[in-house]
Amino acid sequence: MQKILKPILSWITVSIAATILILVVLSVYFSGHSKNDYRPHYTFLESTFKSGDNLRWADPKWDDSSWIIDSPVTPLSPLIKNTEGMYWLRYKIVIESDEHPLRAKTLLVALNGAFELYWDGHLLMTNGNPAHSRQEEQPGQLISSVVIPNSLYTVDTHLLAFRISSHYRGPHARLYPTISFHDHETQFSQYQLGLMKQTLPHGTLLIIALFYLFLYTFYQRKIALLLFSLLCLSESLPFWNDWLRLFYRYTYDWHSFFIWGSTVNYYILSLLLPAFLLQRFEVPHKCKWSGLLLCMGIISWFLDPFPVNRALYMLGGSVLISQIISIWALLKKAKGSALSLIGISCYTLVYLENTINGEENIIPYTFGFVALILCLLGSLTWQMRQERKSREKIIRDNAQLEANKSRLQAELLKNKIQPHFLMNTLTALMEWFETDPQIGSKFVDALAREFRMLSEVAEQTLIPISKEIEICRSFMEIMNYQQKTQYELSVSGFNETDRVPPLLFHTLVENGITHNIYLSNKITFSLKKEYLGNSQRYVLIVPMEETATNGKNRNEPHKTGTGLSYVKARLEESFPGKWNFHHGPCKEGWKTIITIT
Amino acid sequence: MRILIVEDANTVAKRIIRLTHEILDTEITDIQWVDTLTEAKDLIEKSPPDLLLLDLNLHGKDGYDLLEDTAAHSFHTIIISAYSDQAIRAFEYGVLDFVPKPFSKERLVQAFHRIKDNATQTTALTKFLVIRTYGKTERIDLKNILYVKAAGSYSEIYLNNDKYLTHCKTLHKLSQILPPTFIRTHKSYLVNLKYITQLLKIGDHKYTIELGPSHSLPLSRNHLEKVKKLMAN
Repeated sequence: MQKILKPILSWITVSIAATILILVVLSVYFSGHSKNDYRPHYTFLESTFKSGDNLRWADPKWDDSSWIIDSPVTPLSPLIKNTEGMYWLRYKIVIESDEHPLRAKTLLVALNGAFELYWDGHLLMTNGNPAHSRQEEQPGQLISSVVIPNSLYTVDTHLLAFRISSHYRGPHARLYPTISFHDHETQFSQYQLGLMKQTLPHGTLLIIALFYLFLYTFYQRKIALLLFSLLCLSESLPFWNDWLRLFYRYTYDWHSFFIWGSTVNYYILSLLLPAFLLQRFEVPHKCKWSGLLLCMGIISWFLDPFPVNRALYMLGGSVLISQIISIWALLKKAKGSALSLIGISCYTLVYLENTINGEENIIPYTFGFVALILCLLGSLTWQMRQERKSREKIIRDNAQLEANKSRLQAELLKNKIQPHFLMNTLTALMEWFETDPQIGSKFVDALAREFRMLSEVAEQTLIPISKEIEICRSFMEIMNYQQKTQYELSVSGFNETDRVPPLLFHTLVENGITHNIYLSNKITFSLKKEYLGNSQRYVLIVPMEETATNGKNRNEPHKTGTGLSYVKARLEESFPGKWNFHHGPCKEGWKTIITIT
Repeated sequence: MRILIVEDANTVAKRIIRLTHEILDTEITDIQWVDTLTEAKDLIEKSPPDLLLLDLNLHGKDGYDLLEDTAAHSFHTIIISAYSDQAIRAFEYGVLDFVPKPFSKERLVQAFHRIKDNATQTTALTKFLVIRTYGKTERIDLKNILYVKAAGSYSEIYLNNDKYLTHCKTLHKLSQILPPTFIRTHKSYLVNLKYITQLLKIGDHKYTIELGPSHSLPLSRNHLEKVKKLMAN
């Protein structure tokens, strides 16, 4: 029952997760525009530039025909860049229509500098305090907005005059303002919605990052876990920076610091993704891969003057390498590689989309990254499951080994308390105590020696061959007291260092004595060691006699039984897969050959 | 008395021989010792002894085959074995005693004493009788035996399916190994208590035992009280 339920449960879980994901993505894509939304209609006619400062330049009637007009022939950027001190920018715009004249309109300005903005000559907003010198300037915020009074916002041509100073600008600062008009209500709801859409994936990433950091710290110090945590953290950091900006409204002079921060973060992200995959799939030649990434980093640095763009080129290369690693893993049939490839592919798509369409739409990109993270999560979970299974198997195998060891030990000792041996021995002792106490005490001596040796070797898996032979001979001595026949063991070819499982030959010798009927007064067993190339073999010959009564051999040595299974289990324990047991009749009697390779 | 000893341990066999001589002394006419089952079988076929002392584990082989064979013979068997856990199984074959190793002289005395004992077996462990007909042995479950009748040196076993078979043991020997549910009702009869339907008085102090409608057996006066008492239970 459980066998059927388990895969069903897995599929249900995966389906539910996939459904929730799809719903989230769809709702994010299709939400955003309500019926109430309204976008103002306006056109920029021209923008003109003049360095210097004169408050009368705010007047729409001021003749600016001598000013430099922004055009492809005379782009303003380099001019502004080379301007020291204050400068003015005048924009002529046309408000084409206004379906909702009563609704408030907002003007949004993004600029690296301090400025005053005049609307048809009226001072509309100030952001910081523009001044001639660096000391006097009070930096403004990067993005600022103002609600335009309805009396000013009329369907007409208007003049927007900016009085700007930008003494704290960085090398890559944007020096002319980005201006946009918005319906106040629409912008507010869009802003909230945008924030929510970003909070969802970034919040998720932060939680995952923290969770894997905990896993790494307290559960398993595996570098892949740490890299995964950092990967999530690195992706969500810029968002938390934006979030921070809402509370701590930093001024434009801090902006280049944040640009560098963001660049470094993208570079780190570009390294973390392939680094994680290299660790995750245990890819060889990590140094070579690292070298490749380093080369890409250097190349990307020269591709674009703007630092964040350099980092994005680097990220593109990193995504490509991650694809290659995932395909490699898939070809190696690594567990979870398919899932990882799907994730990387999703991410590649959103990366390309983002590069082609510009940075405007950050949300699909973020969700693409979340898709990547989810796929990698799945892949990691799969790996952890595999590891858990193999760990459990090791524990099981160890328990099995322990159990086997105990079983063999028990068998070794059981052999000596089995009734046939023990009770016959005790009966013999009784007899000697009553008839010949001297032999009795000699016998007790031999018996004690045998038991002492047994308890010495009982817990070992391998013992010196000399000890094994001693135990065999001691057993034969005990039998000699009890039987008509006298047994002996001849040995040859052994080294001092040879080691064998305890009671290996003893068991075979005992089988030979117990299961054969000898008429002769003296029987010699022979045990020798031979070398055959790399392997060594032990040959034990147990003599067999033809009996007088029926002329044929009555002594059918038993083929299986606990004795032989003990011998085989011991061999497997000490020489797993490297031994061979063979026995059968031969000219001299019964031959047992144990080969160890 | 001719005794056969089957034992593979040298010293143990010597002990059995020595003690048997000490206990039975002049009663013994011959003691033979063999250490294999085949030799034992051959000897029993040639000239059955009066008593068999059998070890059940010889050279790693169990002696139940031989026991099945000897149980059909006229002589008693006493098991001397290291495997005391085998006692119940051995008793089921109808052995006279089971002596676990190691054994003292006293224990052997006790075992040999049972040979002469007239009382029926006090333990109820015998489960079946082994009967040999035309060279084949057959197990007869005690539940199916109505009564046993003496027939000289043999016994006739009457079964509940109206058949009867001949067993080599005398009525006296069978009475020593059959459980107490078989009672002596007459010098020539051993009756299975559970088949007795009634006692019939057929004259002055003369009774018969009825085993269903078709079997009517004489009941001697000196067994009358005992049978009445057992039937009352």
